[in-house]
Amino acid sequence: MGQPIRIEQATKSYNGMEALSPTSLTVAEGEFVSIVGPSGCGKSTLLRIVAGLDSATKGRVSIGTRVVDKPETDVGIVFQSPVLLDWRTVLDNVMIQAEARKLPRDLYLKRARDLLGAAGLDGFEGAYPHQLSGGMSQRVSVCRALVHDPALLLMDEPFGALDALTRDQMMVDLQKLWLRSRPTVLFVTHSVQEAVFLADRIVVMAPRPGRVEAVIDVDLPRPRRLSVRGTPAFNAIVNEILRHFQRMGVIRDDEDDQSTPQDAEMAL
Amino acid sequence: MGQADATLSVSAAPTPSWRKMKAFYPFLSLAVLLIAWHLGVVLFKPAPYLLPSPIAVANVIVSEFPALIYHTGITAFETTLAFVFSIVVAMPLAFMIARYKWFEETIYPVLVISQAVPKVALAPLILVWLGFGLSTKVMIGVLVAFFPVVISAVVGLKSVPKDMTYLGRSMGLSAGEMFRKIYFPYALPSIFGGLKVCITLAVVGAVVGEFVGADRGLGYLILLASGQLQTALMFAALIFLILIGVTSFAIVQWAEGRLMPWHSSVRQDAGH
Repeated sequence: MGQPIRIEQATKSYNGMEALSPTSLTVAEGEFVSIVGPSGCGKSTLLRIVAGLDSATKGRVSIGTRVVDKPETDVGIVFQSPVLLDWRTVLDNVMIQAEARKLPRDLYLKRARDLLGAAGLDGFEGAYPHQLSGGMSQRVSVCRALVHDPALLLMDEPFGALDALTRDQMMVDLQKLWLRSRPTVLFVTHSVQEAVFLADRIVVMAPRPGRVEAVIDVDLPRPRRLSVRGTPAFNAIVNEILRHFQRMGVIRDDEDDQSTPQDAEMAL
Repeated sequence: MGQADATLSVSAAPTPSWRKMKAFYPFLSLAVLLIAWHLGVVLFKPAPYLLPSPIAVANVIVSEFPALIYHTGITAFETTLAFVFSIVVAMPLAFMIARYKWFEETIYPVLVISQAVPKVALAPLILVWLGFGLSTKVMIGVLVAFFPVVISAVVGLKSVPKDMTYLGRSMGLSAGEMFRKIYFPYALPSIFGGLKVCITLAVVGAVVGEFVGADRGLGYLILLASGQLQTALMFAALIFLILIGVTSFAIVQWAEGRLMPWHSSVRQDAGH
């Protein structure tokens, strides 16, 4: 089960340059929050601060009742690249979580196999990462982030390096995996469609300095299917987010009435 | 277009028989070399102390076989010790350099400068310090051979991706576990690159050690044969030195394959 996250007036400066201006955000337990924004809006920084891998210059972050002051361990992280350990098989890559936390091997071996199966990786347990495609590697990475049933799942543009078709499949699979254990999720992405498809709530961030521009609720029933992207309700939310980007000047259109969400998304 | 595709597929996928032939090529060139050597000796009849025929060398190998094996064993033992101690010296140094900025800043430049000193020139000094025993040969071997291991290990340890360290920290790995589970295996392919250079240099070091003062070993045998103008024996000793070099290199390469079956330098499918 997830843990709530509370970010209070967190800021981050590098050499006096403000990367993240005071940001506050509360995420309920088990909530799926997507953070969208252009490059340089501090979304990855925010994620690292929540994970305790980077410290806020000012302000504080707490998870549950605990203030984050060292690397959080009740957490699963998925990075933009799979970051698999080349010298371990698929199964051992997932099992490193149990090993590192000294959890009972037998129990977690079963969980790992179960997760890999659910992620469509049946029969690849003994394969090495170099034998996998980009999409498969990233699936392993998602399984690794979930196997120890963390309260918190942090994802930093996890599907950014994948092709569009694989990305669609990954969104569906991630939703499925997430619904099984319902950790609290912070999902950073460039893709507005991806954010809307997956999230309960979307945080739109603006660049230079990074700040929260808007928070938008996504009231679409779950489990969502890929076809939801054709519905008016879905597109209304996508357009609302894109309007924010246009207002910020992240996207510029010559003729407003000709713009479509898809075009604008490409520009991101 | 179709033609271009056809040529491409032929060159990209060699037939198995061609592959078998390829393994045979080095022996072919070796045979040609031996025949040329023999023909040269037959044609130009150089004095045997200048260039003995390959058959004369073969005869010496047979007649002096026990002595050659004995001296080969000595040199191989020195080489092995020099190799092992090179690793023992290099790995902690590399780890400290990669881990601590202050250590890197204080030790690394000194280490690099030390490599500008011709190690062979240091050999007589080592002889004075350590005497005629085994330790002199091992010490010279280590001095000659440890540096590539340091360099390659530092490069390997330092190239661990940032995200991988984040992953380790988020799993609550201790510093020791980070090293064992992430840094060391990640650096291993690079370390093995250094070890392959190290093992060949360790042979050089052992022979240099024997040159400056020894009463056994292939280096000693070469000096002895040189003094007596027994050139065929020198060639025989050289051949056994080559055998030490090639065999030890092969052992390191074999260990590499066993320890890292995942790596592209070992894999068959990696495009060459």
